[in-house]
Amino acid sequence: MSLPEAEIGAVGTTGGRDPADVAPPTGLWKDALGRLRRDRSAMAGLAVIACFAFLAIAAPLIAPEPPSSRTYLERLEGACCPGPSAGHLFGLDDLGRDALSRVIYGARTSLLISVVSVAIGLGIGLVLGALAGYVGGAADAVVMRLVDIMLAIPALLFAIGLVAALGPGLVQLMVAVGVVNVPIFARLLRGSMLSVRESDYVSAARSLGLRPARILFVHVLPNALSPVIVAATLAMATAIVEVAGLGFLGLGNPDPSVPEWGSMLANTPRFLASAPHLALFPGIAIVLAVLGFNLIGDGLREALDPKFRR
Amino acid sequence: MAWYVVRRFALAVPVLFGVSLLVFLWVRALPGGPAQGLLGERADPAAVEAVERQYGLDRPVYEQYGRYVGSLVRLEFGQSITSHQPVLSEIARRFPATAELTAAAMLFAVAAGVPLGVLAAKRRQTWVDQASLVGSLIGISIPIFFLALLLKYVFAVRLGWLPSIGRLDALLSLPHPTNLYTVDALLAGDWEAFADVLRHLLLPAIALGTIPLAIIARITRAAVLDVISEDYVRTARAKGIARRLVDRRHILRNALLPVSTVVGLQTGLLLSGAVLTETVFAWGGIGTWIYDAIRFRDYPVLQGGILFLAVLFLLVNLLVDLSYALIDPRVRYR
Amino acid sequence: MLEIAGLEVEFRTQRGVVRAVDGVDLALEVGSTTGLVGESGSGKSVTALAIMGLLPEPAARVIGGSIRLDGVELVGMPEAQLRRRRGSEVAMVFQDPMTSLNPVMPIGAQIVETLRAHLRHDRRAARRRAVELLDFVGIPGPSERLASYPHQLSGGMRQRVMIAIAIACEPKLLIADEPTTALDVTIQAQILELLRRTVDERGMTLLLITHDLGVVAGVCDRTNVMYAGKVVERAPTAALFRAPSHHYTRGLLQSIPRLDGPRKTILASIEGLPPRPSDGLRGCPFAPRCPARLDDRCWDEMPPLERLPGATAAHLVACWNPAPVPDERASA
Repeated sequence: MSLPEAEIGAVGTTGGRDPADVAPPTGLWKDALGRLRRDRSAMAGLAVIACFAFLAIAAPLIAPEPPSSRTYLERLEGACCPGPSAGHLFGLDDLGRDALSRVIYGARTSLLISVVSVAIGLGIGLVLGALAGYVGGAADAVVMRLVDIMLAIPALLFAIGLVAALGPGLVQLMVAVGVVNVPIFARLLRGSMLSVRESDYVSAARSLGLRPARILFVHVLPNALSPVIVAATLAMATAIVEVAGLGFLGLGNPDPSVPEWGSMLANTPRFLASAPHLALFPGIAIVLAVLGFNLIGDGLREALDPKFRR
Repeated sequence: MAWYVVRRFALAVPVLFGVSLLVFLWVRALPGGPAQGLLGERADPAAVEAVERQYGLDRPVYEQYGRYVGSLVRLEFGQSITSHQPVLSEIARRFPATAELTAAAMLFAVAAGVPLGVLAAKRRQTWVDQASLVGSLIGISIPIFFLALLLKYVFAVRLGWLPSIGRLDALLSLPHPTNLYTVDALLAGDWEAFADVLRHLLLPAIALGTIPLAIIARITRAAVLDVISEDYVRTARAKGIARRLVDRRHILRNALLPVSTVVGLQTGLLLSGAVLTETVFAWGGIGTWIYDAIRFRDYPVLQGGILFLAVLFLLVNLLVDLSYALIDPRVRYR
Repeated sequence: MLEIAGLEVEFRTQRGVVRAVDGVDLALEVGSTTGLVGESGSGKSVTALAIMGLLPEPAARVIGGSIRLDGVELVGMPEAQLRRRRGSEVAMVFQDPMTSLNPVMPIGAQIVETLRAHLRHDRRAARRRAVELLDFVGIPGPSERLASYPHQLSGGMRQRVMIAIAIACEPKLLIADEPTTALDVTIQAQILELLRRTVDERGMTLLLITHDLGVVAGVCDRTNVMYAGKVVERAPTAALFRAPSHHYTRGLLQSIPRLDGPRKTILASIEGLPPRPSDGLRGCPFAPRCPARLDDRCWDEMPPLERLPGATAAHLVACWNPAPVPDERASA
């Protein structure tokens, strides 16, 4: 530490804090990790997501067939969609494609869209939230009004409108679902930013004469982060549901060689009586993935927030 | 109280303007530009001209927005491309169906969720609590349309207990003065039709209400646990009043404050979810209308539908805020 | 009228079982005012909750002893019967008036529900009685105030409402648990005065629980000092102040600032911290902090609560080496 003497003197005026106290406690994260490890349901959620992640990465190795290869069966005519059999564990869909393979490849699309869309939402939300919470004043007013407006439009409708304007496609889908998430993150980050900004260790850092940018990145952000991590995990769950909803409404990825769970369900109401398995397997995949993220999110919240421990 | 109402309404106005601006920008971003976007590729030139006049597309943008807001204030949402009906009259015709479904779903969610949450709190850390926790986790994680499909398959297709689509059996006829079929049936005094309407309502309402049910149950549980340890509950017990009075007047009434906020927020989710649920059950409301509009790129309908639902969402939250003020005197006088 | 004998209350916590009240004996005569003094954690509030039958179940449990009200045993009494006695025979005023009233209920309704729980009042009679009660506790404009919500009243006013609720059904025994701790100093005196007037005029018996010996001095005939779940000294209040003989009581008295003493004296404080009830001491719980402890005996054996040598029969102390009673004639 090579601080000018005058500034070291200033430490004394903020209650004589030792500069070492000023840094955010790193033990917090270690503690939280320990608590998370002991949380059985969170670990179960993690296992589920790990499985899906493995399926997504290794899809070409695991899936029995490429996602768009068709089996032409003589007996397929008329009666749609043979159910589960030894050759096709999840049965065949209305176009004669192997449902198991499509569910496996679907993990790829669904997880990819969710991760990227949450990243987009998080990125924009962080910038807006930090702007509002740290700069304050007019920036705060503008951002918060924008957030209010975006929250006034029900999420799925918002996404529908965005996809309609952006046009069909994987990237468009990610952007649409991501933008819908922006207000949640912006509001959250603004809130924790405000509370951290007023806290003692930030005043202490300020009195040490640290530059604002350094205070922001070293002291404010890490402490504002834990609720954001929780929200991001839970947002993964909503993103999967939203993507699936868009897919179900026929606004999903238009490329049939890139299957996605929600889109797989889009045609199933028509075949519900004769081929319920078409809806069942992708549906279960969605439930499991969403459940997985929800379990991790709940576990993280309890692990990171000391108030939550009971 | 009156001042509070006025202030809450005043706060909603800028948001309303913001939403209209957002939708205005959205229309201009539609593929093919606003006129083409709103009228479709095979639009007849006279109609294109009419839309261009409405938006004044040769005028400066702020003036265009002004005209646009003017047309919204006059409730001019344009015409559906597919049905050629004014969007507003379609909304008027279809909204009661959605309102009926949403209300039934919320009723189901509250009527089941609150007692479940209270029970879980009272039997904390027993199997009841655990089961309701697991149940609500699954409830939160099931996509609405998948649950709708599951319910439809099991109870309508396999068991045949309940009808799978529509709002009323085709063989029954009912005058529709309100288009809320339950109300219509009661007005007509037709109990057979009323029972049939309820049977049609059951599955979609459960499908739509399950997520709010799960959330309400969890919030109620947490709120009751918070309130139980409050000092005023101890005071109430020290008075020696009957246990059920302590539960109702002191615990439940305070615990319902946070729950009422959630009900408002969840209504937004229900309006979104109605699009999915109505699609599965062929329910002739705003949801199926929007679904069709998506498929046929009927942008005037999408515009009208999204705007309408957004306004409705704002309104519902306003009402929830006001009712919150009715329950909690502290808000009223702030 | 109230007789507590050998009361023991245990709390089950995550860190094991804690004995919060450890063999407390207490006897209140009709119309008397009794103080129960001690620091937080000494078991005084738990004793009060045990009398009310309001121990936080299932964590806390009476495991021994008896509590008799007019000869009727309260320990082990079915909840329905306890409930009928609460509010009508025994009533309690709690510490924090800011949180002890239901925020979403008008105060009138909170008084009325007590009345209607125990007395066969119709709505109108209950309302009339509520106005009388508010008037008695000194709330101006009582009939208009019925419709007020707690947040519209100041802390002192709320504590008056709490007292009105407690005395609504003319209970025989009134327990006040730190009734003034949460209030401003000027309001404290008013509330204490109100309590004293209430029990005087209505012939109630008062059990006043506080950590503040100054509060006891103004109100109570008799005072019990509690430490670590036990009563360590009991005496008529005047005698206790004149001749505090347990060294804990002496420490408490010396930590009260005096107006008549020299200005610059440093207030005495008691060294150390009270034992955690889970520490499992065999001897006197105050021994680790006691300035006059005897080396073996105080560590090994709990002294019984016995008559203080050289004092009146009413002055009891649980100490192997009590401070001597000052000679009356010499000091006079």
